[in-house]
Amino acid sequence: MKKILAALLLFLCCTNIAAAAEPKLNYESFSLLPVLHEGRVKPLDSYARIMLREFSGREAVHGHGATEWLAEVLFDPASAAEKPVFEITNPAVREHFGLDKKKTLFSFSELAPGLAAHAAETQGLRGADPEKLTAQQQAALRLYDDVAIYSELLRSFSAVLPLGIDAPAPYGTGKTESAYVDYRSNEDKIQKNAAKLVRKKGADPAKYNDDEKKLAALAFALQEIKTAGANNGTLKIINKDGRFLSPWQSLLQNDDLKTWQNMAVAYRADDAEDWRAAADAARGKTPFKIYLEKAYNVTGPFPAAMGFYLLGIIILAAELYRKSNRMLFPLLCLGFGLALHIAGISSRVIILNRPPVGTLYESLLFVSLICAAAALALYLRRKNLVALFAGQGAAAFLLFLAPFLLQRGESMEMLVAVLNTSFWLGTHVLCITAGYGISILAATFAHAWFILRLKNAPAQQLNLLYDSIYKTTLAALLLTGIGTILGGIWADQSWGRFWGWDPKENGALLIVLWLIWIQHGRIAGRLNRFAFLAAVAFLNVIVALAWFGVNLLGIGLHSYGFITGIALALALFCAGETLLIAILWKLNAEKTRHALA
Amino acid sequence: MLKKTLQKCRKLAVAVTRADAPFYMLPPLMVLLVAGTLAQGPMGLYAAQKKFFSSFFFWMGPLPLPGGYMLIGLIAASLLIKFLAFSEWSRRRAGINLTHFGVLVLLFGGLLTATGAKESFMVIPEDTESRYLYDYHQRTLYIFENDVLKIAKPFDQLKLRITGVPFDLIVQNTCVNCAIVKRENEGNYHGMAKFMALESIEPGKEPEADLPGLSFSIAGLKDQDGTYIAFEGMPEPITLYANEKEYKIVFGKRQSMLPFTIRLSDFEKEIYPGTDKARGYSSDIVILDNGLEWPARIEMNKPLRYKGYTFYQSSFEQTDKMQATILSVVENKGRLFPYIGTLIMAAGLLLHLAFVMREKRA
Repeated sequence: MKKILAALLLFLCCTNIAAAAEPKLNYESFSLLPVLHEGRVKPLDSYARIMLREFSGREAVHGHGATEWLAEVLFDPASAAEKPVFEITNPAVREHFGLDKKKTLFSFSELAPGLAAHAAETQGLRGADPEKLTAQQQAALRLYDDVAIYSELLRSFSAVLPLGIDAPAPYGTGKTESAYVDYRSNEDKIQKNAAKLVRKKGADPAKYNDDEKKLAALAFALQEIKTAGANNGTLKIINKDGRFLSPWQSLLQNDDLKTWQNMAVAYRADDAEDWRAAADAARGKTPFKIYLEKAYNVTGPFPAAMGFYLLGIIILAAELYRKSNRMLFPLLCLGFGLALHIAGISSRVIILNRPPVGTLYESLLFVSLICAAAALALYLRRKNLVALFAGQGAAAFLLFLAPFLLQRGESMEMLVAVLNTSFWLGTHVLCITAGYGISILAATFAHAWFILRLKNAPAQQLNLLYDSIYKTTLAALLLTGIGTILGGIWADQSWGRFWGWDPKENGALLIVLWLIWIQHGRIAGRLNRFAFLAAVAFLNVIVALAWFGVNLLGIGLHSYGFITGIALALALFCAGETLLIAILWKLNAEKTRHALA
Repeated sequence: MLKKTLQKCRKLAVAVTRADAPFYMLPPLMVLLVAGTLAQGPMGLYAAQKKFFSSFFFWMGPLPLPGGYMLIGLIAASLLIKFLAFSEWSRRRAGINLTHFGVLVLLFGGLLTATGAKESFMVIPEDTESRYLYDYHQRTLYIFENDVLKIAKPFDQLKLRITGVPFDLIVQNTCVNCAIVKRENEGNYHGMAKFMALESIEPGKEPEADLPGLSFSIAGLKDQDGTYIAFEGMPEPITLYANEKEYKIVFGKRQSMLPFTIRLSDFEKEIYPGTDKARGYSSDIVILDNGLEWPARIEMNKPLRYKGYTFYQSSFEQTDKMQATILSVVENKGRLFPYIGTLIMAAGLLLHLAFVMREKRA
């Protein structure tokens, strides 16, 4: 048992840490370079992951991590253009662009001819209402956008990459392979002389001598590369004045890009020493937040926490099965899971400098934490074993769902103006999400109560659980009730009305009314024990509708967390839950009838 | 006889104020909540709110169903009677009683807001001042006599004939949402009506985007008699002359005036670096009141309150040449009730939860 456990723990800890073999170049410093993207300074590691996920839907391609992939794109674009990175899952799109039907990953060079042939017709879709486009048209548009960004990335550092042109004698740079930056000091002279040459001998190169041909080719190449580069703004790096600009903008503002050129040269020569030196020089002193974000990316705390929660459930079940009451291992797993979970959320708070919940994705992380933490608290206070199962189960399920709600890869988004307030994010949002968590816990307990009764659990255990259910619903009412009203007060502060019957507000109110209703039904004796428990179990459906359902409506002031494609999953969940509760209720009622008969 | 009736009344009161009352009244409210929320998709936010929530009754086909005002009103009434007459004033019930009182405070605030709150907005370009408030929804027809307001008729109360000025204004037709079409027929048309006519079309989902208007005829002014049109946002008012006085007819959002003036010194839109995503909006304003000048700043989530008015950063307008801030302005006497109600309810629920925890353990 212990050996298996140790092996599992080791496996969980290691899965996320560099599964691939050590590459020859060390990417540590390179991955920590600061980059400005989507309104936030982040390590190049994050940028590379976001970009690669956007193109390919994964964080590693052909055995290379995202940072390695980006280094190739930036410093060896010719090879990068041949590597398959664009994921096209829609077969109709593959067929439309004349691509290999059996593959799903394509390289830039493979895509280029098909995209060029259909460019005009696809660009024509831009003006159309996005809701009226077919899935294929949407996928095609997105592919165009991705390829446009990718081609900008390929050209980001074109200024420091070898031009592959023989320079005429007077302009030689003394290097074997010269880049745009090497000619920069002579650029005006080169263009002037080339213009003079055209005036003298016309535009036909056949009339030029060898040196003149070289001059014309060089002048043309410099002009081309500069025009293409000047608008390039995808990747924003820090320049020597501490401002974030694209490499080309930086260059045009008189940065010489020397460290980047050294990196490019070392990369192309596969020289580990020089590469490390150049990357270290470019990196300078790395701020704590950048380190933290890299560590967050590398460890992936939430999948790991999910693993520990599941492991905790499995071990607990095994211990109970063996009728042992050793709780050390199950609690250790829960403890590890919680530690990782809290570390993950705290890292996000530090990196983003705001309270933990501002997006739908973050609400899942936080509600999940509440479930796990409440489970531990309930176990420690009342030795409630059901809480350990229910809390960890719900927490793991929510962590499993979370990645599906991320839009376009980036999980650390900046918030729209109205949400950009620490006070309300810290009070209303935390209160209401904690209320969601406790409601889910209560509902899961109610399921467990039904199941335990069918399994002939002792009456004392059932009564204890019933008591917990009653109290958790009261706590849920407190949190969602206060949270909803605090939301109203926030709305009063920012829009000038306390209540506007907006979908999100109505969703929150629905949970509150449901909780009030079941309390009063119980007090009035209108809901018997089974009905009360079924109503508590149904909280899962109510919470799911209020939490995700209203986002599907996509209307109202609150519709910032809009999600698509979740509708079906939500409908299935609600239908499944309703059916399950009905069956549990019926089976329990039958059991009572049998017992009486 | 009287005694019996009183007893019956008491029985009924007990019945409607027990916990049964919310048990039966909450489900319809929940159904209404779900229906009203779902309807916002096809109907639009404003229309659905008005039909389902801000109403006593609404029609579902031939069936009259209770609206939000009715259901919430019933719940509030039952809770009030229960709270005053049938509460159990014991320590055990203290938390519950306090919570119920908090709900009553909250609902009372809701009543004040529903009946008394006034919402409007103002548009102030940079370096200018304004004291005009515009209503979001109400439109009004104004007639000025030598630039002094003479008549103001709300759009939904426009009567066939408007008198009180030296001419008769006869309303021919109105449209909540008009389409402007080219006039094909000939006739005695004046002003913009010479070239265009208004046709009524279906109102859109967002009432703010509708174009309300009306056509009317003028009688009693000889050569100025004939048909005119007026619609919201018309560039020039209709000007008539009678008895050596000038009459201007303006149609648009209902206007009112602040008892003080606001000057916009600076409007700022802050974006996240390297994106077009807004991080925040703010307006630096100066309140000009009876010779006093108060500088202040209004930001998202940080409104300004002054003399019963609350000013919120709502939107902005931007052209190459100028920037203007759009502030929403609310006058609400019930504003503080949710704050007080929340505190009371929180205290009550916490008290009750603590009591339940202690009681069960003992």
